[in-house]
Amino acid sequence: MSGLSARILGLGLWTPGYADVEAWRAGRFDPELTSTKAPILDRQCSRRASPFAKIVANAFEQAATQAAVDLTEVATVFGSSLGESSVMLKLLDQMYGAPEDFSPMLFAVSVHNAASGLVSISTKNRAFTTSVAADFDTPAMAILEAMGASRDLGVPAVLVCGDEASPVGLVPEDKMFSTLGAAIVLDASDRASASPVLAEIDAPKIAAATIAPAEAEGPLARNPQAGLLDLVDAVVRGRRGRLALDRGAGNGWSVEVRGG
Amino acid sequence: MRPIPITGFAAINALGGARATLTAALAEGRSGLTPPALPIETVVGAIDVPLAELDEPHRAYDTRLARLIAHLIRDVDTELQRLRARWSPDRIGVFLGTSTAGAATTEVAFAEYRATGKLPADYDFEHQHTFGAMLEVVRAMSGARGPGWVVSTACTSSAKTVATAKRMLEAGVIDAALVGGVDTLCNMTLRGFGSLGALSTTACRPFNGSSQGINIGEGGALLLLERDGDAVGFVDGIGESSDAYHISAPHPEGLGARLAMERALPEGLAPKDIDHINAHGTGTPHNDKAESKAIRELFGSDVPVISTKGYTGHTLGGAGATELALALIMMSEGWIAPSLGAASDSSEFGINVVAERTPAKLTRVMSNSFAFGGNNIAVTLRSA
Repeated sequence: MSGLSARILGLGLWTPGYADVEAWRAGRFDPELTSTKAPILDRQCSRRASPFAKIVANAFEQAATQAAVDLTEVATVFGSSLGESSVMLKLLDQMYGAPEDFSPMLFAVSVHNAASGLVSISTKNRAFTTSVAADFDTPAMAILEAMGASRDLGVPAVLVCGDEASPVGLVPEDKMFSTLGAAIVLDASDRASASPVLAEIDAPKIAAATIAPAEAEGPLARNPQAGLLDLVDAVVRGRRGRLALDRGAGNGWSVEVRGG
Repeated sequence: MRPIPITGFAAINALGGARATLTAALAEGRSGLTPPALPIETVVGAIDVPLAELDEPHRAYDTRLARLIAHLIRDVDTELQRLRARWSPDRIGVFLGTSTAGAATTEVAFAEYRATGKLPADYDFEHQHTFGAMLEVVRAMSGARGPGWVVSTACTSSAKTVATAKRMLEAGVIDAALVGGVDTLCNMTLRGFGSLGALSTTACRPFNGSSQGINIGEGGALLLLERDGDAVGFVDGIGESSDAYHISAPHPEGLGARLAMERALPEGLAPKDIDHINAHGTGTPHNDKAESKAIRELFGSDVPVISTKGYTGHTLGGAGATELALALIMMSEGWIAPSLGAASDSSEFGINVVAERTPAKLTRVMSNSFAFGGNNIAVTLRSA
């Protein structure tokens, strides 16, 4: 497709039961872990952030810390299939449920790029940020967007993909999924990386996978962002080869994981 | 950056759905704003053009949003045929912007669910609500098979698709792209801007000291970009930035806006080389004050500025592409349309707001889009 490639410099992960990448790698499941804080957000942004935005910000912070990126100038890409769906449902309730004032604060963080904005405000980052969606292809397409931005701007890019648990009643039972936030820091610029390279990837393309996805099944595996969990898992376990970036419901995008 | 040829475009909004209609409305200074169907005291930019239902096999995707984008696809059919003949389908990218996606359809379904305990039988969350649904419709109707995603950064969404395509073209990932986006009117956005105290009860008056606020509209535009080709205009510069200030208010000094405009200046050119600015110009006092300050500090007070929000309303995620299309029309016609609602004296803002249609040779035009989250983009167009 192109000569585009990137070095992976950091990883992040949050899903109920697993607080970070190390807990995931070690299989250390914590049944008490159902929500998270996001220390990267300043007090005002934390007050405004939805539980979903905090999950995304938490995964973002893990990856950015490992890669030791300059938070004020790094490019940031946020991928999500549904975005702030719980916030939208709360607003719908305010409009059509029990009579209630419509919350301006909730409306302001109902946009798909709420997490992107809250992170940029908290980190004083005036550089490029975006928020993208492509259903089950979101991880693959967000990787392309992040690689393009990193190459263009000459800085690393923090990419975080997440979706909160599917809204009850709106998604068929066999398609219901649980919450996930996963992040990588990639660098497609010409600059030498200051932090250790964990792996390298080429631009995603439509091709058959040669390595298996992470050991995740059921609602977690059905999360539209499971492909980024699979990439995080492959990198942290040192598995190399062509990895699918969706679990069968997308268009078949995969990425070659090598080196590191 | 190397200038990117724009080889076709289409737009639909409250002014109409054909280029001749849009051109006439701009030339006449005729607004498309009308009172809304919803019981909210404001005026809106509602589309009054018949929108065809989606046929099989796309019927499951049939929403107003999908019909709008389908209208645009049909409008660029000739150019698309040429595009498909020229480039491999898997080298044609699809990058679309929307803020609300299928929220308008979900609102109706949710209201029925609240009233009856059941969702409407024809409501389909996956095909009608999600951001990806619009992408599938465009892919299927256009024959493009390359990478594609939706950019959803509120009111900068569709403008940012131009930047995405530029990066993918420069990285050698694609040879051509469909970019742009649409949004539809929905209760949630009207109520939302109302709750923020930003909604005007009358037609908006951007860069006018008496302005009350914003009017919401619906619509959008599609542009075809190619690695090379017969252009109707060029993308000559793009600047993206963040305010890093507030989730729903602009930086009071217009810092992020200025950064975006600086970054959108084509290499080797100075602010004086920009002939005209199509401002974001929503009509809210905070936004207009911040943007005019940024324009004044970077360009001085002479560059002609307009906002087209008084024609179409603020089409949210569709606004950036809409305003690029309107700018292309004005460049081709050789005049600047009047900024509807402008005061006879705009000295309060310290910029040159164009109140009457003005003949002008427009070689380079900058178009601004700013959004919630402090998300900013400026795009510089060059004439063909």
